[in-house]
Amino acid sequence: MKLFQVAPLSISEDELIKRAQSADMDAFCLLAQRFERRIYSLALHFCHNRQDAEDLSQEVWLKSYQALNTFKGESSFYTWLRKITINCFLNHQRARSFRWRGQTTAVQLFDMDSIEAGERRESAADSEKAFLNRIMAQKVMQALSELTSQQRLIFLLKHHEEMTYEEIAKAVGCSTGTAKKSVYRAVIKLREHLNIDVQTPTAFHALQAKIEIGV
Amino acid sequence: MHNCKANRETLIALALNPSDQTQSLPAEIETCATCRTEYAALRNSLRLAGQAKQSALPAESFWPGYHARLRQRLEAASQSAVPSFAFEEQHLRTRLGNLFTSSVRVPVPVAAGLLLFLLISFAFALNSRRPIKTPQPIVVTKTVEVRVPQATIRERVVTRVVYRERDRRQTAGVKANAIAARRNEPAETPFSLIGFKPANEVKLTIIKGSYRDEK
Repeated sequence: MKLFQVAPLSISEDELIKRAQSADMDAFCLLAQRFERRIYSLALHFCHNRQDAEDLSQEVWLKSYQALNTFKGESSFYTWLRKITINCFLNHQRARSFRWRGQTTAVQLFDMDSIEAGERRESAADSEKAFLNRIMAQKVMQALSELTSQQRLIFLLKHHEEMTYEEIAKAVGCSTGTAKKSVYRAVIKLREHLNIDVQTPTAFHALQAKIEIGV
Repeated sequence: MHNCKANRETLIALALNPSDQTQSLPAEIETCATCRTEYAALRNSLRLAGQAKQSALPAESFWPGYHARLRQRLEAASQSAVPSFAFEEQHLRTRLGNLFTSSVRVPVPVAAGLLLFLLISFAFALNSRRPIKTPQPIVVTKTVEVRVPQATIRERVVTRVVYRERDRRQTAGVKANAIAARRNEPAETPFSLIGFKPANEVKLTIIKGSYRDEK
């Protein structure tokens, strides 16, 4: 099977889009390669499960490949792609709520054991930092898992994508007030789960400090 | 009076907006130790959530497999975009198969009601097929003679006498002349067929139509 080529930076985004629009799958794959991590990260924080995140992110790419001819260049490619991503997430959310109606925190938690062995081949110096990072990521995932999927999506759009409340409200189809409340709720949840107390630091907080110094 | 709880939303808004983080805090928050601590905790929480976004991403070894799977899905999607006749047929078969194998969830009371209705209607249908035995009415034959009035032809002779007025003078003269003539002339012989001999040949001309030539 033909795998993705390494996206050469010399080829501009516009050129890749034009080629992809004329049914050049290689060009589309190169285009996908440029944004795949952002989309995957959003999907992972939304689903809290690697397998679901992969399925969802690939669904985004599939939809965008099918709708590529509708891209007229009025906005940036990523803005257009983000719209598709949000729609895919909302559809996923509806399907999930239909399947698991009444289950408020129906998400699989981030599974630390599912990390591939390849990821663990790190130097001894980095292993502690990496381990702490994973714990932190798990804590964040746990905090987000206590939110509804809409609140989670709104928080991700605000914090990860740095969208304005008006943009979020328009994209998700809610009021600006609801968007604000969702973000506030998510921040409070994060604050509770990460349990950061500046005045009385514990051993865990010392590790947090280490992470911050490492960064 | 300063209320720490009331300021929480402001603190979250400040912690979320990176451009405002560089600016100094409002005096009300700056002077309150609790608010300052809370603000620092919120900022740290959000910072750690941002770091978790990076650390949650899988290692580089994950991406080739991801690309291969995405490419496979894209190829499958592009093939299905142009459906052939065989594909349509297979699709139809699958749909028919699904039609026969799929089931619909019905609540038990509704199912019981439907079953009862079917049984009753089946029983009615069976009863309607049997011949209905109705008691035959007693027929009594009786002969009654009825005189039928026959039409009689009645002839009636109507005689009408019509009188006509004549001029008295003329009639008187005419009568006198007639009397005189009768006295002078011999009496006329009455008209009879004595001595009439019919011709040997009879010539008949039959005129059929209005045309002169037609005979």
